[in-house]
Amino acid sequence: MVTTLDKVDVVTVGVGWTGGIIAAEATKAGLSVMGLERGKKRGTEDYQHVHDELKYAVRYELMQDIAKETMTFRNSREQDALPMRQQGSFLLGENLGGAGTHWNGQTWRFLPYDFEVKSMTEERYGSDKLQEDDGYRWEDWGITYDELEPYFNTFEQTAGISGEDNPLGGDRSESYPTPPMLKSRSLRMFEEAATNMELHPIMMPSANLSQQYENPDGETINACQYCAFCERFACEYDAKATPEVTVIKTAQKSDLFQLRVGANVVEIITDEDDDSKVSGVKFVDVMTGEEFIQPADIVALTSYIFNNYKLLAVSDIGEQYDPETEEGTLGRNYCYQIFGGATGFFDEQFNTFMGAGSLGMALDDYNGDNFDHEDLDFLHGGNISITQTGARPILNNPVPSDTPSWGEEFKEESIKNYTRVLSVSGQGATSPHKENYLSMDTEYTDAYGVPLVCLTYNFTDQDRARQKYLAERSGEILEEMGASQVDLDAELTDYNIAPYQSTHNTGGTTMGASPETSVVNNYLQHWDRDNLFVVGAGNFQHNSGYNPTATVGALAYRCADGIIKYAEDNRRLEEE
Amino acid sequence: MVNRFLPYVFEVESMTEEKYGEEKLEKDKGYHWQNWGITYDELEPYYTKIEKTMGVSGEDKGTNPFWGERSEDFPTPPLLKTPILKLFEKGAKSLGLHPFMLPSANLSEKYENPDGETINQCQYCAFCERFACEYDAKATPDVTVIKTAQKSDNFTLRLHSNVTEIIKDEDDDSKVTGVKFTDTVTGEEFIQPAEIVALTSYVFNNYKLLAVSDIGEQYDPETEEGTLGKNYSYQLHSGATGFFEEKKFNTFMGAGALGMALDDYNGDNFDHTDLDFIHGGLIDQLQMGADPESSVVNNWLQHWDRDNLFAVSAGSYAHMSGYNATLTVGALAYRCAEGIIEYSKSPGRLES
Amino acid sequence: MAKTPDEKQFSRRDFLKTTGVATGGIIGGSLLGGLVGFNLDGSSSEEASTSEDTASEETGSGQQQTGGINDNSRVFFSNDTDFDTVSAAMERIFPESESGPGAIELGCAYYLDGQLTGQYGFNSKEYMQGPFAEGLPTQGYQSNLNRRDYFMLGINKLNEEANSRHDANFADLEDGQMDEILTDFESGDVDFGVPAKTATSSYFFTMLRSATIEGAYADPVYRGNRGMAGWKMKKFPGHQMSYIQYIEDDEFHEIEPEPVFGMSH
Repeated sequence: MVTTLDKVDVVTVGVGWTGGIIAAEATKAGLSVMGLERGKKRGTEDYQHVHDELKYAVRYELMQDIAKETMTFRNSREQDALPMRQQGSFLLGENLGGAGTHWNGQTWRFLPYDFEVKSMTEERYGSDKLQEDDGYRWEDWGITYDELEPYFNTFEQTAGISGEDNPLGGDRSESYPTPPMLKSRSLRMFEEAATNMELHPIMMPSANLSQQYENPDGETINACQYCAFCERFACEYDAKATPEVTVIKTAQKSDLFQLRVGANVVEIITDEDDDSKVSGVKFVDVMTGEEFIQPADIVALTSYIFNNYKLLAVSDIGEQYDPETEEGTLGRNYCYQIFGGATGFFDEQFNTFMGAGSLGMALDDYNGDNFDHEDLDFLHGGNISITQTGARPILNNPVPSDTPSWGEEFKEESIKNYTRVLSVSGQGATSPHKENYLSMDTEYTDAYGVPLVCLTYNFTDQDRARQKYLAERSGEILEEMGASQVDLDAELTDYNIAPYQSTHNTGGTTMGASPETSVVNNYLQHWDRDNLFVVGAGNFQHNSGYNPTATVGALAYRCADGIIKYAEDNRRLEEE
Repeated sequence: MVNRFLPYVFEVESMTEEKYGEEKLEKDKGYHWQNWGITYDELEPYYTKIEKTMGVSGEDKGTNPFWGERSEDFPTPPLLKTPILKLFEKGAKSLGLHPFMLPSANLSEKYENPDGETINQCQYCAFCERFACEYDAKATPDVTVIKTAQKSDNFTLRLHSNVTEIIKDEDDDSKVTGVKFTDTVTGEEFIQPAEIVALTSYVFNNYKLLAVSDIGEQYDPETEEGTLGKNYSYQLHSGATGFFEEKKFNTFMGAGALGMALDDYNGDNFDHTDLDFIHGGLIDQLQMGADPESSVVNNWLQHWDRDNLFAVSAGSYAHMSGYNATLTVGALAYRCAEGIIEYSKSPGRLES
Repeated sequence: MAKTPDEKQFSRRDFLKTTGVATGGIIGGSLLGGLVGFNLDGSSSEEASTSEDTASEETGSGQQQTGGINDNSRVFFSNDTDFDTVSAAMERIFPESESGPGAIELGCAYYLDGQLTGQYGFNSKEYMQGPFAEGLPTQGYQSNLNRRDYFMLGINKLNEEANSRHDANFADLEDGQMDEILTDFESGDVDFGVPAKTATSSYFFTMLRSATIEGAYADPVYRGNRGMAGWKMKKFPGHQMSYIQYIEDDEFHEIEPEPVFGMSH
């Protein structure tokens, strides 16, 4: 038996950063919003004893219980996909705030190059450089940096980002709302070395704030204490910009906002009479198993990329991408992140156990198209940085290569080097390829009987070449910093779902200028359903050499604008 | 706790009819009291055998006037009588009742059984039921019969083996050929062929295997046809709690079978003429009986439909007595073992 | 030979020998009486006439920051040999050394004991639906076993190997002999007798190693990292509210560690 609830103007599936942004903006514009969140409510009062590495960083306390729902994975479509039985390569978030609760807070705008990567590459290097014959599928995003710039600004103002100008980044209409964080010893060493090498190091833009700040919505974020329990942990000081401390709080101040937790959306309902519209969503109450329908004038998918993809697939909205024929766009251009870096061993001891999630310095000299790729066999690059996020003892046991992994030598080396090792790492872009995509699994299901999402993904040759390049550049900086020994990261072989790498999954519900290459337009409005919006890193046509959140946030703010416009006159927004 | 069932239990149907008339059986109300197809006297030697295997501690033969005849005394003397027990004894006797020490498989002294296994002396440590015994002072299968079997080269033990089916002989529908099982660690499937199959798991699992293997006819409560699953019984417990103002008892000390009991209100030991129930005090879906119309196995626990299939458990009871089940299960198992050995020498129906 | 934390204490085995149970004697009244009140963890208390005595009284044998839990109590490993085996193996992975205590003194095996009773042991937050298949090296954990069963399989195998190679239990071997066996486990050369999709010796070794390191460095509430000695070796200060006053400093700071729920000094 299904119960139908009262209609609202907007329903969001998921209440994290994107769901929070849309809820805050839409309610400010006078629209009623129902935020459906399948996890639990949580807030600062739950984080008062959070400095427990085992519980939060090793056992993933704040993250999704994948016994209930996971994904299947294979490197290529000739293989059988098997379930991801343990969290590993990426950590799926859950509950109110989503992964926004426990992120590090590194907040980078993508480069102008990113949004027009195809046309800009063609212009500079010729179309062969796109390597389409080898299966690469670089696409323009259907939007320019300049069009998105004001929204980057809004997101940074909401989050109070602490930073300084980046000479190698896109133009800024305003400076960062708060000054950069404090420079620690290892950061100063990096700055000196990089400057000597004529590179352009800057303080990393940080959502751990350098000072107490009140954002334009009236929410206060406190000053970061450098407690070194950031990524995978929640912030007990309210000093990390998260959805719960900013946009969700703002939405909750409005009578127009309703939040329903424990609501797992299982389907998007297409309007029976008009298949260019949706009429709402169906969800299951996870505690009782009861089914509900939430009717709405506008539906916004604001959950994680895999879940957004899945809902479109099971609801039969859009056409599933087929790598054989290359028809369909749903699931296409999945991308990830690579890391090419190096580890430097020093005689000096560093306060590595102190830090903050975004405490670092970085340079974009080897990112985007900021360097000449003429003689290189890859496009794009990565942001090279040193960070001091807090080295915690269980997960940090650095040893020189060729040290045994257990026994007395391992113990002595890992203890000694724990305070004597600095890493410089390039966070690299990944190339979109026709063989990397999302589809629905045909064998395995979740706890609710819904099929799992299947990920088919491997690193491309361009990724491997880029990773090697970034590792070499990182090694050079560490040499300049005076390391007594420098170990480069091992070269990439095949993508392995088990060891943690990054929770920067992108693509599958891409944005673009036309329905042939994308699922949504540049307001994130679905090509086939006028009142359906799909928001998140799933919109990215490729992943850049940066963390995704600022770009996700900017797109969400633009989408919110689009939703408000649509609510007024129900039109296709690409005609703007 | 290891009590022998009363003689009345095995012939409850005929003895009740004889004393009270057929109406007392209340068959039209749906009650299914049945004779077991065996008498106490036929089972008595096997009761003695299981008591000797376990080393049961109990009082002299004559102590409980309601016990059936015993060919021998208990192998070991009774457990120690504590102040609580003495209080019960005094009270019961003053009411003209007949209290006795509960026969116990927690032994009163170290004992070597006829198979050469040693069971140690109970320490009254008070962690008995639901716990295992660290002193080897509780008669358990691992301390007695399994140990004995393991001394023989003829015995193979295989763990993690979940039997999922009894395999019927394709060519002879009065036989089975073995069982199929799944290794619970690896998921692999195996067939174990055998001349004789004995179902010696719990009541519910024995029933289930017969049902899923399509052996015998499922009991239908509507038509009352079929015998498989019929006459499930459980146990009632009703008593009283006494609060004592003046006394303090060492209630934290004890042993699993440390106790006194009386049978004055058990079986047909008291007049039921004016009562609306019979008996006094478990379990059967695989009941044994004198014929296939009323039972699943004969009194050797041999299946009526499959000559080389035996089913051993409290599932054999036609009804549950006012006692714990284990001793009777053990006695029936020993008799069944004799039947299996007999069958292996000359295959055929054992009831003839 | 690996030393065990139980060495100094009056063990259950000693009780059985003393009271003659193991040798089959009858326990006499006076001997029994003499043992009443003798707790088997090595302490003795008055005969229980003073009903106000509580079990949480300090027993004097190393009551540390585990807040009332007896140092040597266990909830998962009920078999002493199993526990001694895993302790000895962990000690080889993370031995006592110049820097300080090894796995045994840090309580790593007690850490694992606690973990195996919870979601880690039952894989309750992991996807354990079938069907199961042997995955590629890039597809991660695909076993149908939970960690409880996996660990027990491995621990039993360690003892089997020790007995078959040297006629002794694993915990009674020389260091070098234990290392040899562990090295074979690590390289996958020990056959568990089950298909690879169920369990391999190399994956068991990986889990054992991770559990050892977790046991050395997790917050002491989890019963490892005893006395925060793991943290002290690494100079990790545990939970501190703030480093804002030190973060810009050049010099290295040695800070006394604190556990998450604070400590009474």
